[in-house]
Amino acid sequence: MPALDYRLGIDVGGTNTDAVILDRSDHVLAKAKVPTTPDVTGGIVAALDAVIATDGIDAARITHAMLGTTHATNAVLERRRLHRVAVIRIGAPATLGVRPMFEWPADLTAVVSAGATVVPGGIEFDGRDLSPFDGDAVARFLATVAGRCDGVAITSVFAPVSPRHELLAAEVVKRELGEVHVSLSHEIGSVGLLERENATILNAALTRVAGDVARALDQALAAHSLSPVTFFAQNDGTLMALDHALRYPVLTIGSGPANSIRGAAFLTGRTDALVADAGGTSTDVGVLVNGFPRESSQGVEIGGIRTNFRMPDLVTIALGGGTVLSGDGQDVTLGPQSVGYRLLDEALIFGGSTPTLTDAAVAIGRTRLGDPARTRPRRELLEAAARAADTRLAEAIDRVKTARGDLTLIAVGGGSVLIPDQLPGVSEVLRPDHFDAANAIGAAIASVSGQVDRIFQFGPGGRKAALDEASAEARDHAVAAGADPATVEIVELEEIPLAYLTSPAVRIRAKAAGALGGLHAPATTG
Amino acid sequence: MPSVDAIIASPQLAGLERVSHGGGGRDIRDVRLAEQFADLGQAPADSIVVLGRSASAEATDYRFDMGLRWAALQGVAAVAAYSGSRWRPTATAADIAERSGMALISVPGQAEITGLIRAIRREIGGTAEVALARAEAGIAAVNRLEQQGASLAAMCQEVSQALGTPVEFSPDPGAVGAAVVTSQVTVGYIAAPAVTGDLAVAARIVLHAAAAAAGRIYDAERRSRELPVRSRGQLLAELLISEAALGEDLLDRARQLGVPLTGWHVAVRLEADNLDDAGRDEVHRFELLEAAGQVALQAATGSGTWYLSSVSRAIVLISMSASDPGPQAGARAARAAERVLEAARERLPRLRLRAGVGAAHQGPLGLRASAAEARAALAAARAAGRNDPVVAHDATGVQRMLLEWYASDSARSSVRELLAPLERLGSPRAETAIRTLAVYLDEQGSAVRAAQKLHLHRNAVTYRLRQISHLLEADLADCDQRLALQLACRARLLQ
Amino acid sequence: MKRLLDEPALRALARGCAVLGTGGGGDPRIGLLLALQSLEEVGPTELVDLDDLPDDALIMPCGMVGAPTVHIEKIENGGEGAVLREHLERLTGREVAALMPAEIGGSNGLLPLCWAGRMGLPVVDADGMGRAFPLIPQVTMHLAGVDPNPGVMTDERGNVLVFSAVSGEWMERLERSAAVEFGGAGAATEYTMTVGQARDATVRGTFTLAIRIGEALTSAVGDPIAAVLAVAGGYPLMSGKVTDVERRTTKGFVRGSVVIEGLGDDSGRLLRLEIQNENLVALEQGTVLASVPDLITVLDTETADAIPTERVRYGQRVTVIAMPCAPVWRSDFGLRMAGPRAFGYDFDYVPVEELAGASA
Repeated sequence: MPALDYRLGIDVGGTNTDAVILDRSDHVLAKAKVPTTPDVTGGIVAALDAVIATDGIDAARITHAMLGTTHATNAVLERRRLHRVAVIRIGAPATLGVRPMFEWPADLTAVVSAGATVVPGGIEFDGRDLSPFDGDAVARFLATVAGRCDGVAITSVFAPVSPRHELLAAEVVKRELGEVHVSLSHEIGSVGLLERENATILNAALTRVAGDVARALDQALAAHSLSPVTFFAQNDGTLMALDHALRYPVLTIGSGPANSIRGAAFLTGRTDALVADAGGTSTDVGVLVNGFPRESSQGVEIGGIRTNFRMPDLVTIALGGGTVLSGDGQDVTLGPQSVGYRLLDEALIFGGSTPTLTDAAVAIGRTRLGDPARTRPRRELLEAAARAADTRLAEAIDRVKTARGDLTLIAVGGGSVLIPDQLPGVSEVLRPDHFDAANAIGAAIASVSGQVDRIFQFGPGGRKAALDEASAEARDHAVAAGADPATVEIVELEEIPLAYLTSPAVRIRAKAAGALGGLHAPATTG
Repeated sequence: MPSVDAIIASPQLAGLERVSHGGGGRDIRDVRLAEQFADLGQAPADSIVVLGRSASAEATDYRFDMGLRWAALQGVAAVAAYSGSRWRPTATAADIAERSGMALISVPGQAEITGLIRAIRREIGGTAEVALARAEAGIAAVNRLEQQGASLAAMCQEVSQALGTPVEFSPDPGAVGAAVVTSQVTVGYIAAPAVTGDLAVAARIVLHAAAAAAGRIYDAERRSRELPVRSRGQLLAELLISEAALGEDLLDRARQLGVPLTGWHVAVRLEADNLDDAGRDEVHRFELLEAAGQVALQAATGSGTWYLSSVSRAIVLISMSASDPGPQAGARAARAAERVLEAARERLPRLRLRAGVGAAHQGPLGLRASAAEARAALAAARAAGRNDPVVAHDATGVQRMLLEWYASDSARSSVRELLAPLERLGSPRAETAIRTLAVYLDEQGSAVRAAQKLHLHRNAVTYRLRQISHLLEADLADCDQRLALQLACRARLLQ
Repeated sequence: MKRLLDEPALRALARGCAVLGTGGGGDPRIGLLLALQSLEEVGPTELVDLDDLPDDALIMPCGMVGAPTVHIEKIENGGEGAVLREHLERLTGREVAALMPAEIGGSNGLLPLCWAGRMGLPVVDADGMGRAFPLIPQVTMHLAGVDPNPGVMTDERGNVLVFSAVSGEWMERLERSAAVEFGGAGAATEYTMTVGQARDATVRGTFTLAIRIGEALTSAVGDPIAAVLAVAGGYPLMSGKVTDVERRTTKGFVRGSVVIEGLGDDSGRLLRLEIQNENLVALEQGTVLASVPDLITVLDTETADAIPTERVRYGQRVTVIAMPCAPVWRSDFGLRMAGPRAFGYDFDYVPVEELAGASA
């Protein structure tokens, strides 16, 4: 790991792709914003080129590059560039009532599934075998899919209690198919068989995309004679090293909102606040707790498929800088369409003919852009729209709060000019410098984390020993992901009691995070 | 009644903390222990209910919410619960307490419950123990204040603080109050209108002490106000009583005290006919006269400048003016004397006062003369059996001539010489003898008429006269001797 | 009246069972998936009314006994019902004519559909609770005096246990402990009865009710919650935000309290929910607004979907509703089995209609 000097952060958003360069002391040296391209890679390259070209930047000093991208999400949504996966569930004679991928959209299954089976085996909640693991059944199945699959997804019942059957199955795969990618559910998700299985399958399907992105980034960097250490942003706002990302690409899904929230924390120095990230098309409102985004309690759906990933708890409203306004002063409609990156052509203030929320912000004096005079003919509509937008934002803020009292709101994102200075439920609105590149900055300053979420049986050491074990595992994962061991700290430790179970067992979630392996203290200390 | 915040502010209850938003100002009359939540519904209004340990441990339970609601319906003022660290009531419990203005109080885990209840009860003041402690504090305050000579207002405030209940100076004693008496007169009451129970008993003790101290303070104030008056009165008395020539020293003092001796003076002399009966003993009689003097001075003041002097068994009021007050001076003084008697009748109904009024004379000797005239007027009235309350000196009559004669020193020594044998009888026989002789001579030697006047038998009169003439070696048939004796007796009785 | 349960009906049923589950009964999603796969593989299950069957026909009440946590990992294999039926027929010497959920609330409302469909048997439009309850003898059959025996339990492996218990309470104890051995959960049947017995010993029409509730949620034009209340004859208690969740685990049973702060028209109000595995008591300012055996359900304010007790979290926008229970639960015996005191709450039951009338 080279000594830390310049960091390059790139984040792909729905409308724009942003890039920033930070120095060792976290100063923003350069930033660039380009439209996101349909293939995503094009935009990344363009952003990279633009930010490096900034005056005074000695690109050779870039030692670390972090990427938050939507490649994985898009691949699933578009059913493109996905690997074919051989799906193995270990749990027979249980679980046969709902087969793997039962609820998947047919077209996605068609693309992803090379075949699925449920073999005998699996674990009970107390760690005993559900039934003996049947390796032969696995081998037989693999024979039927050999040559047709690019990866294997293995999910065992109660893997979060013990992964041993999954590991046994992985060995069979190695024996039968050689060096093919294997996704093991216990490394990917937590309690909830179907959700964890889905996430595992998606993970195996996304390894190609991950590889493609990594290569594209490499090439783009190499084009500038750069070969920094590369990291990918995860859904929780932390980073994973390249090799980790190649093995767990599904974790890159949903990194965008997390990056914005972490960037907002960094730019303001706050550890607890509301964050509103306003883009061209939509605004996400999330919560910063102890320096990290508050996670939603429900697993997130990806492409209509249920997983048990925790993504930032967001309320998303379809209002952004480019939201198209229609109606009149009495009855105004906000979007949901947006002119997106065509704002500079279409908005009234830039000579276009489409009234947008940016026009509304200019009309009421909230910001100065373009030619304000052009807003006068539609003044009534724009003012009504601004009021309606503020109300919707206030509602979103109220929905995301969990405690009484006014909180600070950090406004980031290119569209944050829309956000008013006064809002109900908000004590103050902070608009930090570089608000328009908060997501890329969030990616650049992120720490590396490792997480553990499984069921622990109480041994002789009791509850305390279980917590210690979970913490230690989380630390190991963080280091494995690229964190500097000296800086790793436990940032989250949660115990969830299990209903009805009379033997002492508890589900423990532990997250550890540390700085990039390098000479730099974590930027996350709260 | 102490409030919640007042109670927990006590050093005895250190560690208790109000953890609710409101309720701090609620009055507490009683304290109860609740072992179960159901007990909350049995507590009386305005009480503080302390939850036992096991109930406190369950304060997050819904049953506590229910219990709180019952308590609210009962009018309970505060609920206290044990807690290891500062008690954090649930949102719902806090809400119920807030809506009914109840206070929620955190009790530190190590507090011992019976001691806690006792300490709270002491603070509420429901026991004799507290009442006594407060009485002690109250009396100490009273003593301290009296030494400092503090005002009545300060007295009330400090006593109020010591007792922990409002104390005020009021015209009405109310249920618990003590009279403040100054110069035999009740000027008001120190009262504690809101106090009940054991504390009321303590309050009575303290209020009596306070009222007595206040009375003494009042008296001292009055005396210090009156000191100059007293000094002047003293001076005048000396002037009137002494027969010696007026020394420079006396005149000096008069000047210092601002007494205009060189001006014109009219004297009014007040005597009580029934002084012996009205007073229990000499001291009491003295006090009565003192009081009468005060009343008289108050009543007279307003029509000219009056000075007060007390002489033996009489009060002398002297009106002084810089210039000759004219022929009406006597009449004015007589009217003033009537006012004085009226006031005295009202304030001191037991004393039957009479007033003698002298004529206006100038200078220190004139003052003596006027005072002598006033005295003569009373004596003459008495001798004549007249009952007028106010008798003025006969300015133009024999009285004056007599007084003028008597004012001379030679006259006085003649009188003394003449009556010396009777004087040698000693008091009271001398008085009786001289009086008998005076009446006999006034009645022109009629024993019968003299006996009537004296309420004696004719023979008694005759017998006495034989004695008297024998002692005097005087021939009562000789008219010169008779005249001399008559004059001498008159003069003698003026004293 | 017979009806074939197609996919829309199943989806509606799942939503309705969640509402009737009063926060417990397990996530019906798994039950729905089992039913949908069964629908796909063997066709729709038939729903019949008790009146459609002869009086002496045998009904098999059944469901899953055990921990919901296990249920979402170790999903059923769909064949458990057949094992139960086979053994029941052997023990009674009679044929099972139809299945019935022991409880309509939660996942157990859908599980028997999967089992029945795969056996080609119908399911009767009735259940043993009209909601969800945690214990086996908390069923209307118990109140009617139906013999709980024989009890039969099986797991996914094919192990079978037959119980002959001296009481419903003992059946509960034995089955509960067997479930632990099975790995935390097992399929079970008790209180076998004839259709004739079932007429007076079950809560009738609950499938239809659940489906109508689900359809109201799906197709409501205006406010879905109002639509649900209209169908279920319920009362809205409060609409607001969850501001406090406290959970304690004692002896494997979760007890807890939830505080909800009113929003909008309910601003300024605080509602307190006492929960165990189901929502049991709703209180405001120390006064009971509704209590078990009446149904109390927490709905997502926006979607009107029911939120199970274990998924109630800070900040959720929820509307709490109460629905009257089946009348039989209000009898003395019913209250002894499933009234507030049966759950350890120290007050007397008052029907929600009365309480709602009092606060109106």
